[in-house]
Amino acid sequence: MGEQELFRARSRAAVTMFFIFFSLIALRALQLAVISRERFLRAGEKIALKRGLLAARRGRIMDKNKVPLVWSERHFELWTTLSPGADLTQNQRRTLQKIFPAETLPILPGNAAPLRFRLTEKEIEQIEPLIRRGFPLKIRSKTTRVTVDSPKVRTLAGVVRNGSGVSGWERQYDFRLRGRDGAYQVMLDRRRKWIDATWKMTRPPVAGEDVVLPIELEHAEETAKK
Amino acid sequence: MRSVSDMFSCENRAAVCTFLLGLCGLLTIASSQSAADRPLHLVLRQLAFLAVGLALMAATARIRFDFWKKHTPELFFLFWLLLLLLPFFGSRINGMRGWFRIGPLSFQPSECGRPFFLLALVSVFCGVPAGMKRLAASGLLTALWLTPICLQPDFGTVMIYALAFLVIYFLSGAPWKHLLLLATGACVSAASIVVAHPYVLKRFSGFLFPERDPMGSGWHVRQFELAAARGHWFGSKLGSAVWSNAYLPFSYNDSAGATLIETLGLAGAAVPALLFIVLLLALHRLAGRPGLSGTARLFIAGTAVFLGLQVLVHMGVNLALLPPSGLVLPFISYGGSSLAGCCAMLGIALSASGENDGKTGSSTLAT
Repeated sequence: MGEQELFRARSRAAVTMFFIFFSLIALRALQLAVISRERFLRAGEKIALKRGLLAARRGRIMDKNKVPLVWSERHFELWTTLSPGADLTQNQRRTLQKIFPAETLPILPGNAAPLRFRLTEKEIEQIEPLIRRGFPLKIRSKTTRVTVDSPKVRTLAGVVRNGSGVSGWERQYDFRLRGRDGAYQVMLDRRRKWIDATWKMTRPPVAGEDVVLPIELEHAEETAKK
Repeated sequence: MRSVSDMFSCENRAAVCTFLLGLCGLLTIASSQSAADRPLHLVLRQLAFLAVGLALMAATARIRFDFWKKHTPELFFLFWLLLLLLPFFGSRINGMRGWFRIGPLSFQPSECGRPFFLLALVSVFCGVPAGMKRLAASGLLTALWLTPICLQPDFGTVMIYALAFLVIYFLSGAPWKHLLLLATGACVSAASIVVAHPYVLKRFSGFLFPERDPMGSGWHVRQFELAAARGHWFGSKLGSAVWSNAYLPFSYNDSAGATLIETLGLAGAAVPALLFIVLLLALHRLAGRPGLSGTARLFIAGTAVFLGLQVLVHMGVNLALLPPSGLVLPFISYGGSSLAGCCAMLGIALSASGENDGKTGSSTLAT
């Protein structure tokens, strides 16, 4: 066989081998992306999918003139994600002090308490990019029950713990006030941070009903005595 | 007026495929960076690299193949010297001292110097009489080239060079006993590398048993599978390739194949796959042209071998058929050195294809 014929025969063999390997790769791609897809997606969900509850807005308690006696207020708190014993770096501390210039931020390891209660909208806007950059911080929303400025009403209203009324009116009307929590799912990245674009509400929350009591705010103290 | 056959000449097909593959690369990089702080940073850099690469391809194709043959020793030694200097002056990136840093740019001699290694190798295959002398000379040349790459250490690149050497030697008409000897030597070397470098062994065990250490050595393999599974038939829309952005390691270069499948889906990824096939078949036809010298023929075939092997190994890794190797996908993965090396090699191959009729490759390109 001449040199050129030998080259042709061998290059044809090489091309054939290429197509055999290429077909194997194409089959594997078909298996991953189509045939066994569901199995791999479920495995991926185990790594990345986080499911959570969206707290339903608790209903208000009002007097017979529809003056709110008890209602819910939502605010945002700043927490660290530092492990016990760890601290913010000098750079991180300097950056945070630009946002909260008048304050010295206590760093409490082990998430003992928030760094800051009641963040303003502007502060949240400034902190969110820092969290995306990897600052060990997180913003938590918190809902608190607020009553009118009357110690008696506060006593009558009772206490809410973990979303359920445990005493007073809150307990008495809990079924109507509490509504139904919604649900969401979101994917987390390698650092366990939310990937915003993947957030999805899987069940909308149903707000609790407002309860109108047959009393007036002025007479609440009398009602309390009775 | 240009005839239709001119318009669809192998040279034109190769050039158009290179350009289109470069565009697929930009799309892949854009998809992998959609959640980054500066999503266009790498895309714009790659666009610049692509422009330089295409210009380099046109320029190298315009130079007569005789020039390349004549200056092969100088070019080979220049790049070999750069490889030797890497341990002293190179920058360490991802645990590998394989780059020179010049301002904001990095330069990887093992990628850029690939055409000149190929030129030297085919010169030995065509210049040294067949038999043990040819085997010894080509083996020595390859060992000289690969030793500094082993020291970086970049075993993925070493593997591609070694495989390409075997295939090109096979194409040059090597006797079967030589091939068997080389294959045995390659297996022994691979085994000794695995034993001498525990991280290579860890990669192998992570590939074979990813479930044993899913958050460690099995992590890469599992992420490749999950990214491909998310692609389905038509992929996530641009900007929604979540896995590539959040989980795939080096999704813009080492994992570009998996990013491509997640972004475009199986149907979309078939487009660059077809472009690679058209490019490789065009080179195969160019190499079979009658009247070419042995050096030109083998250089064109060697170009196809390098590109084809790298595509197969990269996609094999990205579909969890092979252990992670850190190889990039030619023309698609981010990186100027790889793009420049591949474009220059293709340009010289086009120049070689015009050798028989006194034309350079670029003069046969329909513009």
